[in-house]
Parts: sequence; structure tokens; C-alpha cells
Amino acid sequence: MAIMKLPRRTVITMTVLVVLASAMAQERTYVTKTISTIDRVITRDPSVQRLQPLIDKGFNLHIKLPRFAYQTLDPSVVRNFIADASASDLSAESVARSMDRTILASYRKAMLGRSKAVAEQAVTEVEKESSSVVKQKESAVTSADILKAMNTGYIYIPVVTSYKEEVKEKTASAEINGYMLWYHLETDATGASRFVLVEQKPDLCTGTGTGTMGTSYSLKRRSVEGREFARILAIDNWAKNLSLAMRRNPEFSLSGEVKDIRGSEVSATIGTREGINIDEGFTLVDFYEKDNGEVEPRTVGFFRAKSVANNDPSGNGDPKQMSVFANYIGHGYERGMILLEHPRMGLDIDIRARYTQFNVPKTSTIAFFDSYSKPGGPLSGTPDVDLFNGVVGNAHPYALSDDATSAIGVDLNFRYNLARLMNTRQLFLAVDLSGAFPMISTDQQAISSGTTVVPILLSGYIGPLKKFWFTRANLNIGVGVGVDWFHLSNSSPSYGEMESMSIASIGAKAEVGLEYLVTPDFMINVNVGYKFGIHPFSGTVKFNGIADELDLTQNNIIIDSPFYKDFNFSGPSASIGISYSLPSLSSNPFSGLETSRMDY
Amino acid sequence: MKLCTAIGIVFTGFIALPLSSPAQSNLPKCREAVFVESFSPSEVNIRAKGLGEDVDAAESDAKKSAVYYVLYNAPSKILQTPAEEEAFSKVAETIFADETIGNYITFVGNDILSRVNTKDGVKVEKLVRVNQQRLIDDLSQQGIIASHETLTEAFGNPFIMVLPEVPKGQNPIAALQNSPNLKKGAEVIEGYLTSRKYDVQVPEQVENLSELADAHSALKGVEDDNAYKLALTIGADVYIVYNVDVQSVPFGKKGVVGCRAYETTTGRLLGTETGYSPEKPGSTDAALIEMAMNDAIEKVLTKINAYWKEDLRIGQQYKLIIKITGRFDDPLAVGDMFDDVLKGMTTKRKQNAATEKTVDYIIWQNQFENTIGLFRELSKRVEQNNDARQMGVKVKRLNVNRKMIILEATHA
Repeated sequence: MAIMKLPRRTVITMTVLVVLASAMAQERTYVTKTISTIDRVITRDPSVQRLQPLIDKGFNLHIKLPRFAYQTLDPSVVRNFIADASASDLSAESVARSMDRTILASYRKAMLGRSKAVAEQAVTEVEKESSSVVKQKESAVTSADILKAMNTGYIYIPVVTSYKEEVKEKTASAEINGYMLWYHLETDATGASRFVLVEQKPDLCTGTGTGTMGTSYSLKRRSVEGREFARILAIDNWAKNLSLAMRRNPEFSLSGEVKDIRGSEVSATIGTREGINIDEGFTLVDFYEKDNGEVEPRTVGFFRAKSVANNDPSGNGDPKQMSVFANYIGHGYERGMILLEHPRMGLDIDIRARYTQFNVPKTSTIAFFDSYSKPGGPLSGTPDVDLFNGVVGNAHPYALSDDATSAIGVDLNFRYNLARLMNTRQLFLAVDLSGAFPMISTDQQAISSGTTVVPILLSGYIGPLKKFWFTRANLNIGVGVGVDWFHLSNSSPSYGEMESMSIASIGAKAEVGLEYLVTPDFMINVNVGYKFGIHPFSGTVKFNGIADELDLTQNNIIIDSPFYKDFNFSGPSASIGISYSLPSLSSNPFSGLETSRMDY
Repeated sequence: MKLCTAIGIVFTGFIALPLSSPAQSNLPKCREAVFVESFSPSEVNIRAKGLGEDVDAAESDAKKSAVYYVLYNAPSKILQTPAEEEAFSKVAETIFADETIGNYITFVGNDILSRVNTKDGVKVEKLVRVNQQRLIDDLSQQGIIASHETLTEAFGNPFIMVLPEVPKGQNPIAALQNSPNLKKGAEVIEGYLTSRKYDVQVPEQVENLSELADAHSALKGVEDDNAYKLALTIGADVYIVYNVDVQSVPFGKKGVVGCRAYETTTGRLLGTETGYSPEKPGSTDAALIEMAMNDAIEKVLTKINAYWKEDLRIGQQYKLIIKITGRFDDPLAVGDMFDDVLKGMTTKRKQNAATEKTVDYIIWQNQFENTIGLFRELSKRVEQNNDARQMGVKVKRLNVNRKMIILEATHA
């Protein structure tokens, strides 16, 4: 462990110590947990130590969430712990016992000091309505509430299992892997306390980041160079993924009781104090009695935060204010059911099968270099398609047998929820990547025997997308701008034969889709759209054995030549697909949108 | 024709069947409830569960469940005898009707304390505050239960004495004056009893002790219990002895009180209850004692009421002590004579002791309003008794109070 002198074969072994809190024990009202840390990472790699300040900042942003209170540990106590723990085998149990010996007393005292304030949240209505409170104006807090408050303390210790950086050409990249050990201060009714490991197998999380060397990236308070940016991004993504894993643990999940119902919306007393944001998902849980008398929780619905109440007294809020949640799945919901946090990273991945129409005239696919200069050819000075066809006679000059007007392919789309940034529900930044194979055959007589010419259509578009929900289905409308790229490749060209051809254009598209929410994370969709492509502005053709590529922008061939005049990516499309909300991802492709919030 | 008639009857029956299906009972479906505390002398807080097809119906059922609990199952349940339960069953549907049940509910919590789906519907738990006193008043008015006024009138407005528990031989009044916690306990009991319209006496004056001294000679040989003797002296029907304690627990303190109610005449323990306050940090001892005492006194009063209801049947109790001071050939025959006399003027009698010097009785009677009337009749009958005339017995009054008659049988 780099934080202390470690035996060489130091291994953190995960032992089964504590059973995860079950959803059965889900609180009806979230009681603020208090978290602390030793401000050190556990790692075998001494070089990770220099990352400590960045890791601390990452945790400030993503672990020290508004739902928690933070308790600083006494540095001398931390030093004692480090010294004590490093003398052990560093198993999870041994670390817990080291914490008992060194941290427990002062931490317990600190928790006791905060317990009354925390206990105020745990007070039940039965206690508030007791005669001593109503008539004698006594505090409603009981010793049971204090005990509950004493059991809201946690210490986290991050463990980095690996870290690497590399620079390839001008791109710097970094990757960090690790997990979080959470220790819970358990206090029983007699007042005895000890630390217990929360999770037997914490999630191993990864964070990656890249940056361009020599480029400056603006963060919230400073600008950093590419390599540092890659490092920061990796740590930020890692911290985010650790945070998502933490939020999926019932010990830390937010929960709130449904207090009011209006139409398809419910209200619950969680809000800014707990740090929720609009569009965050919550499953609705109800409890069912089995034949043997046991009670089991079941998910009966899914909601998203529609409006977030300011219930934080420290922020001039009213603790009685309730956030409103819109229904997406489920019906027959009632007061008393529990909303349980369903944390996701806000990024959906969407895979579709697409049919698209466009126009790639066969005249744009002249197979041999020599043909370009023939009378009437594109390089002849007087390009004329009919003349060119006549000149070449019965020969087949074009690689494609006919105009390519349609293609079938696959889309890989990303939908990043902008609700947190734009304060608008169900507004996404859509990045659509598409690859399609034109439904056209090649002219075998035009190309060398034994060779294969493969056309492919690629596109990349970006733009906003808005979803309008009708309970479980939505109508979504998206627009975007992007680039389309037609590419022909020849597997075994002979001398002078086209080896590859690429023509690109920019365009805009509009798409309308219908989605159906099968589960809170899984949707099916059907979509139709239209792409408005402008005439290609660039293209290159490479011929086997010919040194220079043919640049189609030279002499405005691609713009003026009749061989390319009908070349256009415009056309309708239809697709069908599935979409999945990612729980986490090692690298968020949309991190760039949030660099201004990254306080590193 | 007969066939048509038969068919018509059967057809009518089929139509009538759905129309005659039994009406749904107003009684609660779920009768699970837990007593939380006595919120005030007239109200109790109950955690009650209700069952319904939806949460609204279940909440409505929870209110009924709370009232049902107060009637039948609470530590201080209202229906204490089979006769009362039988009488109540005739009006139960009306009491539990949706239109009327609200009359007995002063507060229903907003929070759903627990919720679970069962095969019979959704079951929710709510905090319900029941106006127990109103329920008692309404049931008394309807003659379902004996009202407090009926009971007290039947017994000539009995009263209860309250004293702190002290070790034998020690002065409870001094303890009361010296201990703020004991004083608080007494205040809570007093407040509770007076709000329930009981007559209460907390002897704090030393004069009471002088009365005790006067009666002491008569009570010579009686158990050396000052509280008992005081009660007898003062004439309390019932006396309550209590103790208070505040204990430290992890994260706070807890009040613990004990209440024991005694029937004065016999010294019989009517009931003993322990009350606990919630464990609370930062509460004053006085507040904890009040919470604990509220917990205990309600249950003790229930037992006292039950005792009085029983007495309604056979009459009021008295302690009768006859000191045989005259020279008689057969002093034991004097005791026999008194037994014959008492047989004719009491509903029940129990001889505790009969010696040559003393005869000790517990008697029950329902003819006379007070002990004076009882004493006069006793004297008259003794004068008229042949055996008494032959033995020359003369009765002298030594000490007469509400619950005790001490006589002297001398030789005329």
C-alpha cells in the first residue's frame, strides 16, 4: 500500500463479512448518512500517490454528494490507523479491526455529537404526536432515534488496483481501475460500536480519458494540457462510476415515500437536500405478504423526477416540500409505496437496423484511372457522360452496375440526457453513427476478375433530440447535422484499377421516432427520417500503382462534373432498434460537455 | 297452475337472491392495533392497522380498528364485562358506521407507518388518536356501560388517596415534601384523577398524622403500614401507592413508575402497573416521570373501575372493628351476637378475626347511604337483640369514617 510501508505481498482480500442490507429494510424516509475518509488510496503502485490530490477532488465531486454529511477525521487518528493497518494482512476484516482500535473512539464521539441533528430526521410521526411533544413541547427525539443516527456513519477507503498512462503519437490516454471499501459504524442498543464492511464484493470500476498533446482544455477554474486532461478525465470517470456503484447499494440509495398522487404523477419528500435532479429515475416498490407471512418487496413501477423541490433548510428550503415524479411504467400506485433510486449515468446506447435511401450514381465509380482521361471522361477537359460511354463502347467503365439508391445497415447511437445541464426534461444530445451497405451489385465486367468491390455508406450526426412521453411510450423528434461518407474499396485491384474511393458530404437530418419502455432501462423504437444532404464537396480516388490519389476537388470535378452531379446523400430512412440505459461506462464520450463543471 | 306458481316462486327467488345478499358489516376488517400512550386523560394514541381494497379504504378501516381496540383490547378497555360486550354488540354497527366513527377520532396521522399487500387487500398502519372519554360518555348515555357518575353516586362519591411508597415505618408525607420527583408523580396522578372526576386526596398536611395517631390505638395490631392506616383514617375508598425512578440508558434516560392500588377496607391489592416513558435524551426528570405515570395510571384506573362495578352488585364495603371491653362471661358470645345482627343488615360479611378482645369484619351493604346510618341501625339492632340484652351489651362509637367503623362493646 503506497500510503504506508507495505509488505511486498500485500493483498486486499475480500471476505464475506456483512450481508448487504436488503430492500426489505428500505427506509420510508431517507436519513442523512455521514461519510468520512482517510484521504488516502490503498494501492500497490507508489506512482498513484501523486494522483491523490486529483482523486480527492474527484471524490469531492462525485462521492461527497448532497445526500451525505461529511465528517473530517482527526489526522493523528488517521496516521495511527495507517500504521496499525499496515502491520496487518490488509484483509477487509483486519482493516476493520484496525479501525476499531484506532479510529473508533474519536469517530464515535464525533457521531454522537452530530447524532441529535441527524436524529431529527429519523423522528417518526408517532413520536412527534406524543403528548410530551405536543403538550410539553419536549423534543420528539428519542434514544431510539439517537441510536439510529449513530448507525449512519460510514468510512470509505478507495483501492486502486491499476493505473496506466501512455502517449501514442499526439494522443495521451490514461486508465484507472479500482473499487471502494465502505465501512459502517455499527452501534447496538447497549451502545457498543464497531466497524463492519458493507459490501462483500464491491464493484470494480474503471475510468479512462484521452487528451491531445499540446492542446489546452478549460476546466472550471483552470486550463490544463492534454496529458493532464487525460489523467483528470480518467479519474473523473472512475469517481463517477464509483459513485453510481455506491448509489446502487441499498445502504446509500435514496428512498422516499409516496405522499400524494395527482393523475399520473406522485409526490415524495426528497429533493435538493438529497441532491436529486430532474429526469433521474426511481423505481416504485411495494411490499407483499407471502403465504408464510414473510414480506417481500416488489418493483411495481418506474418514475422520473419531473420537478425537484427545495427541501433543504440550509438553502432556504422547506423540508415539507415535495418533488414531483412522472409515471412511466406501472399503474394503480398509491400513497405509502416507496420510490427507490435507480441510478444511471444518463447515457443511452441505441442500436438500430436502418434502411436508407440516397443517390450514388454509377458514373461516380469509374473503375480504372485510364478511363478518367478518355474523351468525355472526368479529366478530359470536356466531361460528357454520353460521349464517355460511347467512347468506351461496350466496355464497362463503372464499378457499380447501376446507381446505388438504397442501403441497409446498422446504427450505433448515443443519447446523452441534458436535463441536468439544461434543466429541461428528456432533452438529449444525440450522436448517431451509422454504417450501411448499399443494395447494389458491382459490375464484374468492369473490374478485375477475382476481385471484390465493397461499397459502404458511413455517417455521423449530432444534434438535439426531445422525447414527448405518453406514459410508457414516447414520440421523439430529433434534428442533427453531420457528415456522410461513401466509400468503395477494392480487395485486389490490378494496376491502374481503383483501389478505393471516398466521397463525403455534410448534411442535416430530421427524424421522428416512437419508443416503448419495456423496462426502466430498455426500450424498443421505430423511426422515420429524412436527410438533407448537400452536394459532396470532397472526394478522393486511389488507384493501384498510381502514386498520387485523385483529388476530386481538383478543378471542381466533384462539383461541376456531370459524373458526380447527381451524387447526393439526401433521402428518407426508416429504422427499428433497441435502446439501453447504461449503468456506467469507463469513459463518457460526452465528458467534454461537462468540463466547465470539473473542479480539478 | 301449480306448476306455474312453483316456477314463479323459484324465478322470484333467483331475482331476490342478489337483492338480499347480506349488507357489509361496519366493523373493522383488520383488528390489529398497538397501544402507544395515554395522550391525555381523555385521549389515547393507538397504532392501528386497517385493511381495504385500496389505501383510502384501508385508512378508513384503521380508524375503526383503533376504536375497536379501545373498546375491546386495550389495557384500559372500555367494555370490561360480558354484559357490556353483549350490550355493545347491539349498537356496534351504528358506532362503527363511517358517518359516526369520526366522532371518536381526534387525530389521524398523515404518514403511513407501514404498508403491505395481502391476499385480502392492502394493509396500512396509521397513528390514530381516539377520544376515549367521548366514547365512554356516549356508551354511558345509551346505557351500554355504567357511567362514572353512576358508579360514584352509587358509592357516595368515593375518593382515592395517593401516597408515595416508602419503606415501612417511614413517613410518606415527609418523603413527598422532600422529593421533587415524588411530588411530580403525585401531581400527575392528581391531575389525571381529577380530570376523570374522581375525588382525590394527597395527604400533605401533618394534621393527617394526628388523625392517624387518634386512630392508632384502635388500629393497634393492624399491620404497620402507614399508607394503609392513613387511608383507613381518612376514609379513602382506594389508595394508590406509587414509586418513581429515572434510569440512565445508552443515549438518554427513562422514567419508570410503579403504581399499586389497594382497597382500603381490606388492604387488598386491586392492581399493580408499571409505567415506562420513552427513552429520551435531554428530557427533564419531571417530563419523564409524567410520561411514565400517564402510562401506568390509566391501566390502574381501569382496575379500580372494575372493582367498583363489582361492588355495585353487592354494595359498598366497610371495615368494622368491634372492641370488646366489658366484662362478659363469654366474650366470644358477644362476637356471635354481632354476627347474627350483621347477617340481617348486610349483603355480605367476612369475619377476619374474632377474639375475646376484638372482632374484625369486612361488610358489604347497600341499604344505607353512609356509615352513620349504618352505625345507627347496628346500634338499634343490638339493643333489640335478645342475646345482647341478656349479656348486657352496650355499643359505643369509637371512630366512624367513610370506610371504617370502630365500636366498643361494653357492659351496660
